[in-house]
Amino acid sequence: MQKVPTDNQLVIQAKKGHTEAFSTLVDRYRQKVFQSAMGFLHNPDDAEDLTQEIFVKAWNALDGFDQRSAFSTWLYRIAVNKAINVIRKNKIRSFIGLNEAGNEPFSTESNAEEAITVKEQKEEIKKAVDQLNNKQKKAFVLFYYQDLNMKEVAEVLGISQKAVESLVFRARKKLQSIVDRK
Amino acid sequence: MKCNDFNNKLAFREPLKDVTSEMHQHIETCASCMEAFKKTKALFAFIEEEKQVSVSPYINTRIRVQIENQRTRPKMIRPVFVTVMSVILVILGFFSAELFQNQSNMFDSAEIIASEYYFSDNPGTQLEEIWINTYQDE
Repeated sequence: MQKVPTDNQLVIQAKKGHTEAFSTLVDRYRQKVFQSAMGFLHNPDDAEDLTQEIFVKAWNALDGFDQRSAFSTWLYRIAVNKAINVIRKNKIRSFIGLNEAGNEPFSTESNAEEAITVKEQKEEIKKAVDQLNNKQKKAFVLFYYQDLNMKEVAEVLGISQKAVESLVFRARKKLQSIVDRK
Repeated sequence: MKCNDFNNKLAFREPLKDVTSEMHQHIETCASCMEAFKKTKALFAFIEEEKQVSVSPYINTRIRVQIENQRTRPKMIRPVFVTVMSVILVILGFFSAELFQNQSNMFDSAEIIASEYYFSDNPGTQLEEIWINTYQDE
């Protein structure tokens, strides 16, 4: 039986330029990275583009990865930072009127009225999530979308576990109050 | 249980999974907390729904293609460099425009002098005066 290579072994191979090894890492983490991209952008097409950008950035930055932390931690750090940058750029683009109208995925709701209500509700939630500050958003997405535990979130963000708890709690409170106001 | 306690507890928990019986009792008697609970539940249902979306299996191929393209393509000029060069070019453009502006002013003033000279009543006297005033002291 063939032994499954660890992340570290694959990283060493990838650093030598083996794209096959990097592809295996992509296979392992693409869904998780995509989930966090969804948490930030809420649109599958945009999230997929962002996932691609994140992995390409990781490939380009691989030489600088000293392997003191886990590959996943390092990758998620790249993911959240890149996502925040994309959001910032999108804000600028929509401010100067370059962004097209959001291409929402086709609704599967049979009842048109129900579909509109669900769509409106989703829009409200998206807006509420977008109102969180960057730190809260990062912690919230890593905790709820990626299902990382507090310790893992703390490692990705480079802050204490207590700080993460506080960020997640404040994010939840803020979301509750925003959603409540509507 | 007070509404504030309920909200704090709600912020710590996953409303689709673990809500205590105490919290349940509270929302049965408090309409505003029931509303907040429903909305928070909707929020988490939305998150669950987004988490269920799967990434395309072709993403791996797309990433590999982009990485391979980067290897074969010569390095592009960095965008920062392009921005700096553009700013320099704009500044140079302003300076050169300024130069042409001055030149056209010069032509304009020469034209005015010439026309004043030719259309004055006695053109020769002006020149004579200038000549006398300039070379008088020598």
